[in-house]
Amino acid sequence: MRITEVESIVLRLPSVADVCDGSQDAFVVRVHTDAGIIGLGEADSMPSVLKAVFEAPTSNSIGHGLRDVLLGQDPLQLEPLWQRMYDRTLYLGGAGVRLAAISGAEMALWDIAGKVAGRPVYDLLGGAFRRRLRAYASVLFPEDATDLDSVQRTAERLRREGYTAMKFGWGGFGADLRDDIQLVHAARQGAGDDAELLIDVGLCWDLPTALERARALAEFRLYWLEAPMPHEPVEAYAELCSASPVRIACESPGGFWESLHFLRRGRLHVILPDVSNVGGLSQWKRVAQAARTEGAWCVPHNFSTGILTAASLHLVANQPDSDLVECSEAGSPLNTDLVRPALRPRDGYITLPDAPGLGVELDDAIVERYRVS
Amino acid sequence: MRITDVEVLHLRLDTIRDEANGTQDAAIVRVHTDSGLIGLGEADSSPHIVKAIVEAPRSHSIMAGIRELVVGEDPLLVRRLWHKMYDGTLYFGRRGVGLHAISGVDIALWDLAGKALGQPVHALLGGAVRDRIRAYASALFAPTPEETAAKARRYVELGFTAMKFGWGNFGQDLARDVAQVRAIREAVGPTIQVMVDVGICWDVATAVDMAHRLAEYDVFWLEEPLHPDNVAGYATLSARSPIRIAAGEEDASLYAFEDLVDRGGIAIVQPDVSRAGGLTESLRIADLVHRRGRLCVPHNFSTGILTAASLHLNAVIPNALFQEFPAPGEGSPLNSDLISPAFSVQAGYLAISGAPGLGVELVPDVVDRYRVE
Repeated sequence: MRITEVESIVLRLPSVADVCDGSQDAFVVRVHTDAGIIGLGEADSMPSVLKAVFEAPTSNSIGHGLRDVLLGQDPLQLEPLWQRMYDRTLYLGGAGVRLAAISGAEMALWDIAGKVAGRPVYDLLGGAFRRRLRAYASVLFPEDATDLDSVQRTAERLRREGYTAMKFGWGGFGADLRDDIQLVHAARQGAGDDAELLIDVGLCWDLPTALERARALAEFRLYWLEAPMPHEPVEAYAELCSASPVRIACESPGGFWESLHFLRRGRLHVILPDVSNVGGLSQWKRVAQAARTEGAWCVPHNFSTGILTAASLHLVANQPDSDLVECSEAGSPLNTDLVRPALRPRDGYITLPDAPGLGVELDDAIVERYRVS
Repeated sequence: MRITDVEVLHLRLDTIRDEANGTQDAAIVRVHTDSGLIGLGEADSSPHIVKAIVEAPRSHSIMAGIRELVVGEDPLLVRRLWHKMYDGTLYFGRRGVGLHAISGVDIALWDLAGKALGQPVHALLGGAVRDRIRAYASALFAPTPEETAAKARRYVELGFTAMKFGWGNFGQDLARDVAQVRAIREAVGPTIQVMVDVGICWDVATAVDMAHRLAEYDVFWLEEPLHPDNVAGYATLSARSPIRIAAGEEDASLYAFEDLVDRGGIAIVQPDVSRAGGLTESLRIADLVHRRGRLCVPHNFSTGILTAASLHLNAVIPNALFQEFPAPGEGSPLNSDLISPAFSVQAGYLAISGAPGLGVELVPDVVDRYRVE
């Protein structure tokens, strides 16, 4: 079996706002084979640049476009192909958009492997510990930090929909201590006492501010405080994590190596690798294993389309000690409608897809509507 | 003065070979202003991808294209713009090709500032501490020791007092590797400094063993024997090698270099100005490296724009040693013919120009000949 085409699809809402909603555009990759099987993957990074990473002509022996690297190869050779993609794009540097592109391609290879085997990806990963996974709703704070009413109403709505955990982040949060306390108070009021409440800060504090806020917000019983500071310097995370009364979480700062460094040096409590930019399913699993070794939790960052959600579900189901999956409630049709079946929670839980491969297929009408290149 | 456009010129030889020669294509950056002045820079990375990063539309608040981030800004505010670009590309940048693109624009902004103020870039960076610097000839190993020795003799005849050989078939046969280095030393005699660039192909044990075997031929540094992800391996190697260990061309950002020096313990630190984050970030890296008591030798194997930018950095840093210079016949016309005035090595030294900006301009005919997009 050979790869015959690698197709890059850029999707974009007609209007993109300057807010931290990562589901306003999307990059989907389809890997075609001579067996007629098509693998589906996605990368959560800059779509037009991802397309360029796939389609770039050769620069030199360590600078190749990913499409050229994959064409003609056997798609079932997952590990050798991952290494081939990594080695032949070294010129593009460590992590960033290059690793996101590799992630998308690798995800599509897993989809192909599952379809060839007639098994869901979680079986190829070694099996599922559970079939129902706990969803946490992920929403943005309003840009206006005084709009407490909308925060409380959103939390109440999510609670009514059955969520037992929810995350608020970015928007107007982070700029002022009193506003922050009010915002979290409103979220807690709406969520009720027994729901888990997570706060995503948006990489904006320095160490003393992060410590001050963690202490001030601890009374609202936060499940975790996410991305309170820039990823670097990593030593600041070590100080924060040793002193904070609230669990500290953060997205992976790159691929496996950067994640390992962050876990060891930063002493992070919860690492949030994104399957679609940490290097794909194989690398996500490595990070999860490293996290366990270092005494940390590993939960997927998942704020894009249903393809990423599917990949995240397979991985979380395959973990012995975790069942939490992020579920965007930002409302972008790229998040909710791009794939079938739609992987949306019911009563706060999402059921693992069990069709062969990732278990989802593109909705062609949605692709046609939002495709820009 | 305002920035009106950022343009990426993709230059490319008619035929690209799958070898470690980074001069087969080039990403040239031109920053246009309403004053008519144009700043010139380059990124040593995949031109097609650099162009996509500059031209990308905004995805969300921490994922924007570089053109959108800088158009309308005052180009003299170089440091402000560096951070605006870094923060605005955070979700796909921070390392790798995202930072390579920022490097190209940053170099162009320094060129522009120099032209606007009638000063050489080194004056704006704080002032040159030298007016010339020793150049080392940088070449690929030839297939046989005899052919490599012939190259080495030629560089001595051209006045070089230092030279480096790398990549090619080196690292695949340890006995031949030793023979290659012995042939160079025998050809050039005892006074010429000889460096070896391994090409990312050994494990730590092989590198330690080979460092001991090559020490007999007075090799001044051993470059990139290990994979750039293997920082822990660099620490072990640096502690045991009788030869200085050099690395850095694959890395970008101050934080990556801090890790490479503090944890990896390498002796010779080689940021590429057009990859590591431009002159702004390279100056910070050189300062950090200086504080750690180490030498900074910028990597330079692309067009004359990078040579010019590297010379301005080398002019101002106290811990400079060499200017890397692609040996005559080693680069492509993109390396030797693209800019005017062309660089020439006199008695082994390169002069540091006092002309405004970088002090070089594109040769239009060469651009037209090789431009593909």
